[in-house]
Order: sequence, then C-alpha cells, then structure tokens
Amino acid sequence: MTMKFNISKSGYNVLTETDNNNLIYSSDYNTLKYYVTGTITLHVVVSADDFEYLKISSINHNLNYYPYYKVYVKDDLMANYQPVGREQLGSGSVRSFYAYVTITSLVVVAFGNAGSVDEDYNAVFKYKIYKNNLGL
Amino acid sequence: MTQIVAISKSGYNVLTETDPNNFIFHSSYNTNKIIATGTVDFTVDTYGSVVEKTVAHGLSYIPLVDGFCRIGTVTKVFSPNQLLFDFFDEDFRFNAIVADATNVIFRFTNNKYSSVTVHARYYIYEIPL
Repeated sequence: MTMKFNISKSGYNVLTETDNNNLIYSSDYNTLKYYVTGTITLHVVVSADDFEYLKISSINHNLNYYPYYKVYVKDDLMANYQPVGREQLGSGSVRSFYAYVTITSLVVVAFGNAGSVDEDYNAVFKYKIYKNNLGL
Repeated sequence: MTQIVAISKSGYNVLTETDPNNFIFHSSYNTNKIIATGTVDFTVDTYGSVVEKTVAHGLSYIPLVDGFCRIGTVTKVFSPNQLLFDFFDEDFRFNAIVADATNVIFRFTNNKYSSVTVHARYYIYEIPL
C-alpha cells in the first residue's frame, strides 16, 4: 500500500477526496521550497550624456544549479513593487529592470536610456530563491 | 474544537504563534501544489515577431503556469518578460508564458539573424484560473 500524507479543506473527506483543489496539502505533489530571501539596492547615477546604461549587481546562492526564483522591483517612479521585466517611461527616460540566475548567483539589472535628463535613483529588488532545481 | 496541523519556524512557539509567515506549514492555508513540470527544447526561427511554442497540459481546466528559459549555451536563466541575450540589441525576448484550455504557451521574439535553441522549464499549478 502506498502511504501518503493529505490534509483536506474544511468540508471534504480526506480519506475519499480525489480533487487536488480540495486538498490543503498532498504528499503526491511537490511544492516550492524557500531557500533564501533578501533585498538588493542598485544605486543608479547616470548623466544625460550616457545615453544607454547598464547597471548590474548580484548575490551568491552557490546552489550549483539554476534555481527557481522570483524578483520584484521598485524605483522612485513606481508606487509599488512589480515583477522585473516591465519597461517604464520616466521623465524623458526609459528604465527596465531584469533579473536572471546562473548556477552560482542571482543577478539584477537596471537597463535604460537617460534621455535628456540626468538620473539618480535607487532600484530596490526583492528576491526569493527556492531550492527547486530548474534542471536547465 | 478545530484541529490543525502546523509547523513553526525555529524560535517560534507553534502553540501560540499567529503570524502565517512564522510557520513552515499551516493547514489553515492552502499550498501551491505543482501538478506537473517538465523541460522542453524549442527552435525559434528568425521572424522578428512574436512566436508561440506550445506544450499540451492535458488538464480539464486552464491552469496557473510559470516558466523559465535559457538560450543555447548561454549560462543565464530568465523568467518571463525579459531579454535573454544582449540587453542593448534587444535581440531575443522571452515575452510570456500563459495557458489556454489545451496548452502551456511560451511566447518569444527573436530579432537575431539566426534561429535560436531555447531550453525551457514549465510549472503547472493546481489552481485553476
């Protein structure tokens, strides 16, 4: 007999329920497992003469594989944190924020075009790295 | 009496703790169960417009999905809505991963002058959209 550990939602019989949406937890299914969470602040200072710029920072995770991750970012033009990747138009400038993983690091990127104005801002990246191996 | 299963983080009393963030597991809150996951390789030809690549999910509902991509021999893995090669040239973009009633759908834009091999990982969660 296969042994399992299930917890059903209220009102459902854990012994007979088969719809996984009615289970709070089922050992039949994997879940994301937190490894580390933190913040990286990237101070960006560029002049209008720089035109396009690329600023990078990173932290080591040293997992020796590509891990599942999530990164959110907020700069001085954003009201709230948002997933990395969105391009935002500033006052004559273009700012994009990216994040990627290598087998040893999480890297965050501020990429933009200062346009006709000087830029001096902080991009605050909130990251969560999970133990789950992407296997890529 | 309502019975729960809970595991607190180290340093927190499982019998008195009330902040969900201080629990490793708490049966009052659903978990994000991974129904299926897999890797797949795509070849994305040079089009300069959005290209869709699909993987059948075989479910009876439209699931919540997530995914990651790596290109060729490049040792960087990106999540959706990001550039995968050269930021300045904007030559290859992993636009999005979405799902419909049949497929997990990856969307790419290849502005390079050659086809590109994409190594992709997808996750399908139990939560219907």
